[in-house]
Amino acid sequence: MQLGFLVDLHLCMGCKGCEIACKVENEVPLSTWRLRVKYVDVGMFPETKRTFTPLRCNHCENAPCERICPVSALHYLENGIVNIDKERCIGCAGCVMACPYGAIYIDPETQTADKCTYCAHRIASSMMPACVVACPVEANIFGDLEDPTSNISQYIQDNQGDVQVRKPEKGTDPHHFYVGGGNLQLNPLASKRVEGYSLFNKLTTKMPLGGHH
Amino acid sequence: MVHETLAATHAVVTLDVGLPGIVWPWKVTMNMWAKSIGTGIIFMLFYLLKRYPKESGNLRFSSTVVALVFIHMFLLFTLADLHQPLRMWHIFFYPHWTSAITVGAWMATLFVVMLFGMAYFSFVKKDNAKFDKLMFWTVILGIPVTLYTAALMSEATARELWQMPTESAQMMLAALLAGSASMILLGKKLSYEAKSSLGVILGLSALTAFILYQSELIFGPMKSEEVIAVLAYVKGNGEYATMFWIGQFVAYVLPMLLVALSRSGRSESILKLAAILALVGLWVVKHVWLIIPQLLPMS
Amino acid sequence: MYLESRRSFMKGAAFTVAGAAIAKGVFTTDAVAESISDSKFTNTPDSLSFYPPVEEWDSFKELDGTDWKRGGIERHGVRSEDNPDGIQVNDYTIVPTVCSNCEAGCGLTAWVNKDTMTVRKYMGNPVHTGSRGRNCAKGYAVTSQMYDPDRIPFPIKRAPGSKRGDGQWVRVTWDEAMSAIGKKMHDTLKVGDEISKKSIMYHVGRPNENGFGPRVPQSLGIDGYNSHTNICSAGAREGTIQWANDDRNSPDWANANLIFLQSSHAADAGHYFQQSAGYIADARRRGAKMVVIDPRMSNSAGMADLWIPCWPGTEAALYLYLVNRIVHEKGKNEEDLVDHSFVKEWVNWDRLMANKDYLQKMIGYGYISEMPKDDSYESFIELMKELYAPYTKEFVVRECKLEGMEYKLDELWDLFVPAGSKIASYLWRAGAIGHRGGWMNTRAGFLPLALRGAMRGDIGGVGMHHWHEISVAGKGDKATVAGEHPKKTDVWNELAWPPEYPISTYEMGFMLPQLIMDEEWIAKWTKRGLKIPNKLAVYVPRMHNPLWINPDGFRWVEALKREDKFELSFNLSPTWSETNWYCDYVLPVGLAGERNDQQSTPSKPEQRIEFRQAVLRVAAEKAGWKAKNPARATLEAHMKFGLGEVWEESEFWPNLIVEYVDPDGSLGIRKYWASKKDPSRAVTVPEYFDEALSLLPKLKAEANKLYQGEEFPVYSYIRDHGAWTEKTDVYKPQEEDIKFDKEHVYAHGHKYPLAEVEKDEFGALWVKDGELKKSIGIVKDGKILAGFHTLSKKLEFFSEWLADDWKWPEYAVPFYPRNDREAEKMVHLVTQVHHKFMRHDNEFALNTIYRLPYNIHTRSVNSKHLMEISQNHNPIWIYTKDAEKLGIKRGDAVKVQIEDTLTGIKSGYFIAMAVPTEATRPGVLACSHHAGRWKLKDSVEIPGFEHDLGIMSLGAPKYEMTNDGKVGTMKPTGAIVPHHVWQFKEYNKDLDNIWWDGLSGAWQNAVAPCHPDPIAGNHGWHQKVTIEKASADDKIGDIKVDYENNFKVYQGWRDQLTRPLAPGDKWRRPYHIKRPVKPSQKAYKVEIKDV
Ligand SMILES: Nc1nc2c(c(=O)[nH]1)N[C@H]1C(S)=C(S)[C@@H](COP(=O)(O)OP(=O)(O)OC[C@H]3O[C@@H](n4cnc5c(=O)[nH]c(N)nc54)[C@H](O)[C@@H]3O)O[C@H]1N2
Ligand SMILES: Nc1nc2c(c(=O)[nH]1)N[C@H]1C(S)=C(S)[C@@H](COP(=O)(O)OP(=O)(O)OC[C@H]3O[C@@H](n4cnc5c(=O)[nH]c(N)nc54)[C@H](O)[C@@H]3O)O[C@H]1N2
Ligand code: SF4
Ligand code: SF4
Ligand code: SF4
Ligand code: SF4
Ligand code: SF4
Ligand SMILES: [Mo]
Repeated sequence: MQLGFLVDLHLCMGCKGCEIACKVENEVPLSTWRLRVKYVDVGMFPETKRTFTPLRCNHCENAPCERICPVSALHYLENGIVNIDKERCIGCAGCVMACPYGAIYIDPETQTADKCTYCAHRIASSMMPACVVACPVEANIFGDLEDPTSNISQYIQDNQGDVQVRKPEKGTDPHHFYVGGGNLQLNPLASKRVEGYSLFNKLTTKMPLGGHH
Repeated sequence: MVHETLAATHAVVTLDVGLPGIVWPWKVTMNMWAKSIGTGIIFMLFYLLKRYPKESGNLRFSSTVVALVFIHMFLLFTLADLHQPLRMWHIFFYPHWTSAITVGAWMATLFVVMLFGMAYFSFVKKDNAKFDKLMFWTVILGIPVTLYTAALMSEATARELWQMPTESAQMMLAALLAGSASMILLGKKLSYEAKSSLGVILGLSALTAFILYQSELIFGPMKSEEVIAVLAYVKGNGEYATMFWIGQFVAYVLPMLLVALSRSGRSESILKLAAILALVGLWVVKHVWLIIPQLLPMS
Repeated sequence: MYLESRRSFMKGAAFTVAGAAIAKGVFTTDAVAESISDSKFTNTPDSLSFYPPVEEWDSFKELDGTDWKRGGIERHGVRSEDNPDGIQVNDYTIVPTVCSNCEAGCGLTAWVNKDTMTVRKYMGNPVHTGSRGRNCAKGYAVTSQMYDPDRIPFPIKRAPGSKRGDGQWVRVTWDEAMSAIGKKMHDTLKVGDEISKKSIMYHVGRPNENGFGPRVPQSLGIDGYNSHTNICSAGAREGTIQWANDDRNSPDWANANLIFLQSSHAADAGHYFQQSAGYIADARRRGAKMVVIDPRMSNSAGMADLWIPCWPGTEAALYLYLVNRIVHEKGKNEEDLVDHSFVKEWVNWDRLMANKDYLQKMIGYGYISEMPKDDSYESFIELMKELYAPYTKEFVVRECKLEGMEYKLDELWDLFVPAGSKIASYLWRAGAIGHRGGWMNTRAGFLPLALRGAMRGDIGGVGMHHWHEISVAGKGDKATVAGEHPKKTDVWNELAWPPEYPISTYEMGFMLPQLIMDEEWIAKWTKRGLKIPNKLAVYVPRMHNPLWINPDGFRWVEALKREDKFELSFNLSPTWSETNWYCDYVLPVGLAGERNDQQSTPSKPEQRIEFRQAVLRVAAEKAGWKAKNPARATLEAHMKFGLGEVWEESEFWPNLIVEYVDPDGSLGIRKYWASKKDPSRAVTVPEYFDEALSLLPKLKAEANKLYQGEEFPVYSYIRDHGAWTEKTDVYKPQEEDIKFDKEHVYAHGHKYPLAEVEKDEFGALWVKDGELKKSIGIVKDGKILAGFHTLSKKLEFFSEWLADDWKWPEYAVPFYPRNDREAEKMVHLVTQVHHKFMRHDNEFALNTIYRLPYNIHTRSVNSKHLMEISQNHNPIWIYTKDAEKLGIKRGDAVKVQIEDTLTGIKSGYFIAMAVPTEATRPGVLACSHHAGRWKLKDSVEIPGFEHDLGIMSLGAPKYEMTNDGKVGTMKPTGAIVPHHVWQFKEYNKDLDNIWWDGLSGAWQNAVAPCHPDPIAGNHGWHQKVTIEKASADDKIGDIKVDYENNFKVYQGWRDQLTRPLAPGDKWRRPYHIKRPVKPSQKAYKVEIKDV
């Protein structure tokens, strides 16, 4: 069993339901995120468009975070999930440096690394991840990549040619796919990220890491 | 590449969450810097004992102590950088061998044990033969201890800048630079020849390191768009451009010139100045290189 | 079987995860492994469900997400007696309820941890067929609202001796509060005269329930219901009423080919937001296209196939352009584009053609040049051709200011026509509320849809709201001693329904302070014979923050402080708000998961109800807990299980009335709220709602089957399921037969003797209704069809009542001024922010209307999760090139000065942050209204209580306010400092990570003058503004308002634009159109004296 995720970016409308569902489900403390939805405005008036991209851990099959972790706090479950153990973690932040997707953070409450676990506790309870349940437009598809009849496998088959992962060149082999998107959404360098105030929020890369650094 | 198309697509992030800033801060710079001195000085001791056995014999103890001090500084900052320093022992009880951190920690620990052994032989036992034997193995271990940081940095898959073999060379060069500089300062009683040969090592490692950095600046951008974007922080009006050039001059260019100058004037004080500048500059260089890839948004 | 039942539970509830079961891994036989194999938990499950089946809701076990962070069951196993270190298993009671953060009323389930009796999380409710188990960010944030550390824990009262607004409070018990309030109400009602029946006002914001609230004032015999609709959606309602005598439309998003939005339903807000968005996504997945008309690039516009950034308030011109093309052009196969079969049958063209007087008038107005040749349908089409010919492409480009965007009109046409009759739209706020004449936007907007047959209410098209809604919450009458519904009152309250606005939709709630403080106005109408109260004995805002969300906030401050105008006021609010600050009592009633009421949201063509309930009470009752006083069960449960003295309307009002307002029944009110079962006490929630919901026959049958033998089977059903769908696929009910036989016609639950039914020349059937007549059906091909809700039983292209009886004949057909001369004369249809008023580079239209998908007016302020993603949520959006011209850069503070274009009067300014963007059109700024919340103190001390009560400390900065009756100012003086957490500590451990300062928005509503549209009565939200860079001492958040000036603007709009009731008028308002709480016909009658 290899669990995987797919987001249909054609459908995602940026409501952030998934984001908050995740926060509540996993008690993700303020200032940190297992999942976030990024808005990118593209083009010039009157041909402007807005894109929405949910970003979470990709549960890479060849995960640099798992490789760099000195104590196996990050580890694979047999279902393919890259799981994390806060009691084992020494807080070296190696994984934060290693993950090419910025998916890991240091939890300010526990001072240990944390990230999306594909809601492994829900999976183990035979339940869908919280963010999948939340999505009003069913943009999130979840299931077993090894089972050709699973919903996600079929979705991938039905959208062949339009299935992408983030940063394939890193060789991480993500178990997280996107359909209906492009470079603009998936490549962080393809959009400008101005420090300070943006249309909807105060965007700053000066956030404290894990609170007390 | 995307950077050129940015102007055309006019793509702007209009909503995102606040993102964490620098993950590995100055403590990690301290770590790398101290380690360069700690291992480098042992390399230099080894060299001096081979080339100038007589005059350098009394450096055995003092060099070992300096190495121990800096290696401990390295360990201390490593520990200080952990968010859970009290769990450091996990590395020994739950080691994960694919991790350069694990391997490095084990090696560094062994390195420290061996340094203590050396100290023991030179101070308690006053047995130079045993000392030299042990030092040989320590020097051998010193090489991977020096290099593992490069391995660690390249395991930081996210940071394209560090994904280059040059990083290993730079680690080695940093050790040589820092080792020779420290030895120049430490080996007051050394002959001018010995010092000047240390000066040559200093000058050459500075030159090589400088060339490597400059070629990365010029050729790095051919590697990937991420490297272009990262190097933009040290180019032109980049946020870290000034600091970068200060580092390059203070760590490399000035020491090179000063070494040359000291040779023509046989001036020890100029050599000392070169050594001091190299040590200070190395910190700056390492720091800039540590920070800039962390400024780039990852997602 | 276990898997089976889950799989069949709901569509796609369980996707197979693994084709073949995978070996469970090789464990050694240690305690960890055993703890797993002994449990139902495994890392490789056979299937994954969205929700557990309803049968398991009373006890569902799930691993804890927080405890899992220790590494999960692989490292620690599952917690059990033998394995105490295992990962924690939560035993949940899953109690359904309904989200109340917007009016969508999506299903929620509270996952109540049985051990701690706390709600661990809210998720969706899959039984709710509208929301389908899904929720938006605001739905999931209910947890953070529930455990808001600054929640009001018990009733508080203004400290004796202090003034309103001093911020001195003391703690009172519910009974103390009820006793004082009850006495005041009793004494007022005892007088029994006309004025007394207008002296208690219940003022709701978005009530999110279907009928309970209105039953309260009605049972008191007063005309005292007031609402917020005229700042929300009056324009849209007005237009829809004229078309269909329905409150609003109800699209079938999921089956449409074209999603036609002048709203933000696809991705931002809009009524029934996430449900609509879900159905729109279903349509888009099928290939449907989407058009969005919006001066600002909303999220919906940003993802649409076509974004048309019309100049705000000019959309009617665009719609009539479509009409012009539809009536003149042919389709691909030379077919007519008008759906004649629909229009001919279901549009009231026949009445227009027969009304020669009116046709003559049309010639007079220059709408048509000559009388139609005859009364035929064909001649009507010819009339249409002439009437709409002037709305050419050139005209639209000029009027809507679409220069350079002509191609977008072609693209629109190319999307519009192929969609056929499957076009779904929901005309709601946007242009309809923002402007003078905004209602014409809806009037014109439905015309192209009607012509294409999309208004038939068929699959993929647009239906009507009341077809898809069930309102029974006000009808639990049988559970009460009275056993019947309270009677309609005979009085008419001018403070909600002033004589200047006889057809407003609806109450003029947003100008209550203007009305009540305008002695001159009161005197004027008193002279003309009306009895207008000059004060209120009791004022009760509920789910409403009128002071902040309405225009001219300082006028509200001024008014609410006046103890001679509002003798006693109490706010029914669970949380702090600006309005609280100026009330006598704040009575904490429940949030979403703490209320008991029925709601029904017409989010798709079906009829469904949802039931909101106090989840802790229900969970406790399921665990065997019993209230001492069943009529106060919710209050008792909330106190017992740690939420505080939080009560709820459904129990509060019955108790208040039965025990304190009319304890002896002498006022004749008690009987409406005393329990039939035990007349000594108030009616209980199960008693009341069992009766109310029993009015749904299918629900009743199902419940009686499932809960046989129970005392309250219907209540039990809804308690356990939370929602019920009474009818699906409700399409074209106007075409349904009405039963009749030789003696009777059976319509709308009544039986009309045939002899009393009169058929008119157009086939409509009429019966007597008091002194008036009403239509009950329409004859077609020998059948009686239900028809639309209008008098003509058809869609009314021609609003005959508006023309003949209600003084606006020139606007009785969809129309938009075609030239400057008309624009001058028809000022009522021209927006106050028309581009003709913008003469300089620094003059703009300010769009003050739009929502963020993750904010809710003033409800989100202390939800830590919503606040965190809403920083800088109301900057001033300014088009990049406009900003460039003015030298304004990102982050600059700008001074935004408001000026009225009718009177030329200036209001004052607010300081906001500018963000240049490509996402708003040239000449139009945008500024949402979520930020700029304020408080005057960080916390209040309650004598005798050990903790200070924090005030909105997670989202509202502290401000300094000055106001002298003429000029008001606000200045932020602090940033966000979370108050010391003393309640719900466990939930708020992370508050020290708050990183936002909340200093990025201004209270713009306070600067805006109140300017009501003369017809619909809506406050035209948009403002003409002048902007400049702020000076060094201006801080973002500052405002300065000349509210004396604002009063003059209000008077100007009222006196220059309206056509008030006048001598000779007999009725206050057309009797056939809606009034949320309708008084008797007697109250409707009026006589205006000539003075
Ligand atoms: N997230 C969220 N959802 C909500 C609510 C909430 O508070 N938050 N509130 C609920 C309530 S009470 C309501 S009434 C609905 C309202 O929902 P909608 O009817 O969708 O109304 P708004 O969001 O106010 O405005 C919709 C769009 O109209 C645009 N607009 C403004 N002025 C004009 C104009 O003159 N012409 C045109 N063509 N467009 C214009 C705005 O830019 C905005 O994008 O939302 C409901 N849903
Ligand atoms: N500038 C500008 N202003 C606007 C709008 C706009 O688009 N632009 N939109 C307008 C519209 S459409 C509307 S509908 C209004 C909304 O205006 P309101 O209905 O007044 O606002 P809300 O913030 O929804 O709720 C008001 C108060 O209800 C209380 N409350 C919250 N939850 C509950 C509950 O569960 N029970 C009870 N009893 N009380 C509760 C809180 O005190 C809250 O402050 O705002 C209007 N104001
Ligand atoms: S996305 Fe990052 S955190 Fe997740 S598995 Fe891959 S490398 Fe690790
Ligand atoms: S921070 Fe924790 S999880 Fe990340 S690499 Fe270090 S020990 Fe592993
Ligand atoms: S799968 Fe779970 S942990 Fe991961 S983003 Fe979704 S809700 Fe968060
Ligand atoms: S819940 Fe769905 S639509 Fe909303 S932001 Fe997340 S993925 Fe997008
Ligand atoms: S759409 Fe409205 S009712 Fe539905 S979950 Fe969101 S806020 Fe709640
Ligand atoms: Mo509203």
